[in-house]
Amino acid sequence: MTRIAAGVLTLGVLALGGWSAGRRGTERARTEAATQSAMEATVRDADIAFFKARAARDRYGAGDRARLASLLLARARATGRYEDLLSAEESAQASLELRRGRNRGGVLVLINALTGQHRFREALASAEQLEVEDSTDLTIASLVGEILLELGRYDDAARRFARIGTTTSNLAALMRLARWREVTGDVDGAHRMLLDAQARSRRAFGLSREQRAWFELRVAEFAFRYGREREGSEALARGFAVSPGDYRLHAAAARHALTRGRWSDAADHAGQSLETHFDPAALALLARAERGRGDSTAANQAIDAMVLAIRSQPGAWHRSWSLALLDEGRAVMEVLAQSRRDLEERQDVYAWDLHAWALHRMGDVAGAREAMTHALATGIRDPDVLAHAAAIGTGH
Amino acid sequence: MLPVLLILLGLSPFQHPLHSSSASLSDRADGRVTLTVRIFTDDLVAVAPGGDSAISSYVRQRVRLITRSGQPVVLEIATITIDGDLTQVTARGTPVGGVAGLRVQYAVLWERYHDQVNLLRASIGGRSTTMVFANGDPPREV
Repeated sequence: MTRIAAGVLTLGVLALGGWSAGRRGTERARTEAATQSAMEATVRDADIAFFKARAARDRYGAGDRARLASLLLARARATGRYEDLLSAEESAQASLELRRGRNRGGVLVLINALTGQHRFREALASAEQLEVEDSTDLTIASLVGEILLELGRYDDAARRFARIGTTTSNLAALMRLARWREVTGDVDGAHRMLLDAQARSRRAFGLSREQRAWFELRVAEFAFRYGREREGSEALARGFAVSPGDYRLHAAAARHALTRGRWSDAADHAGQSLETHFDPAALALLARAERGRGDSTAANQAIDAMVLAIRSQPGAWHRSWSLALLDEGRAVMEVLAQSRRDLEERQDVYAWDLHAWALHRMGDVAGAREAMTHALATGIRDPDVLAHAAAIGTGH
Repeated sequence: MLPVLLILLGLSPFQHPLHSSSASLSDRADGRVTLTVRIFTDDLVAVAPGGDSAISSYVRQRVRLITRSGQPVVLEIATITIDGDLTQVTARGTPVGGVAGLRVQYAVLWERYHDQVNLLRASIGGRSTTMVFANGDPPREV
């Protein structure tokens, strides 16, 4: 028995996970991409250790703590690890306690860490403070707009997004504006902005592979959602080529394979996603894939595990989990209660959609229709929402 | 660099820690199988204190391969690797009578967490599948 060096494991996992990394690419290119992704992760981890040590030595280093927070946030994004998100918040708070003024980076990390935990009201308070300090900053305006979007405060969000205009080259603003457009029913406008951001991200300096893959992921998800098959597949392949083994790309690939009835592909992708990052929603994908290929036992085992994992979670459930539970006819009462609590905090399209779907599953036809009317009020054309609306008997 | 890192977080699917582990199982032409198990190190140390020998014993006890005739596959621990907060244990063995009908019991950390879910990706006989083992699940054929 031997112990081998840290880092080799990461590389090995990424290389193994890259089996489907852009099937058009060569094996060599995939291996190279996996190697570079692993190196980026290794450097990031080393940087985290370095700044942790510096922060421990220097009690007054606000800049080091902000930098550490941003690195932890980056790792949280790449791995989905909740602990890193909490550490990022803690480090950003420590940085701001040492120096509130001229510490925009620290505030931005804090806002993003709070948003990642769905603590939108706290995030909004900090973001609005930044906005007061600099009303010309498009990144801040779009950030405030996005948080307002999450809270369902669409009139307030509209004012922020109107300030940004349509010709911005700011990547962050473009992506948030695209989301705004989609939620308000301007699918073509959203599409143009996503493609613009995708093209700019390919030329941008300073983005990690994981971040580049994220732009491809967003385009792929959007394209698949609106039936742009080829565009979605190309974006997905490009994402895998940039960041082999990315669990979010595998989840997106699984979702798409399910829509095409490619059950084994879907099961493979769901399995690979789960191997890197355990997410109950991916278990639901795996279950659907297994059911599709005729293995109801395996499907039920995946669903049972999903229910077990979700029920063990304290606090609010992710909406994707709740929808998966509803689709499987599991924990419907609990999901309905969760959706009611969610609506107390946020009255956005997707909160209403989930609530409507839960009511529908409970057989409350009138309640479901009323809730769905709220969900459709922005003019959203998301096919998933419209499918719920059609089933409930409400529509445009 | 800082602003660039910040722009994209948005709506990542973050969640409180879930109790899970993952493993892979594959076979080779010569009939040997390779099992690789990845477990969070802090959990592993809690259930198997005492270094590599304790970890080896624990994995052998909690991840069992059983042949069609009911004979356990003897697993030889090849490597134990620590990477960040994960420990990866690789073991090899040869199922007597081949891999047909091979069953797996994957029960790590069940004694620690009632909601522990263990995932096994198996590539056996040219077929890949992902198996999910929730607490209390019986052994299952690959």
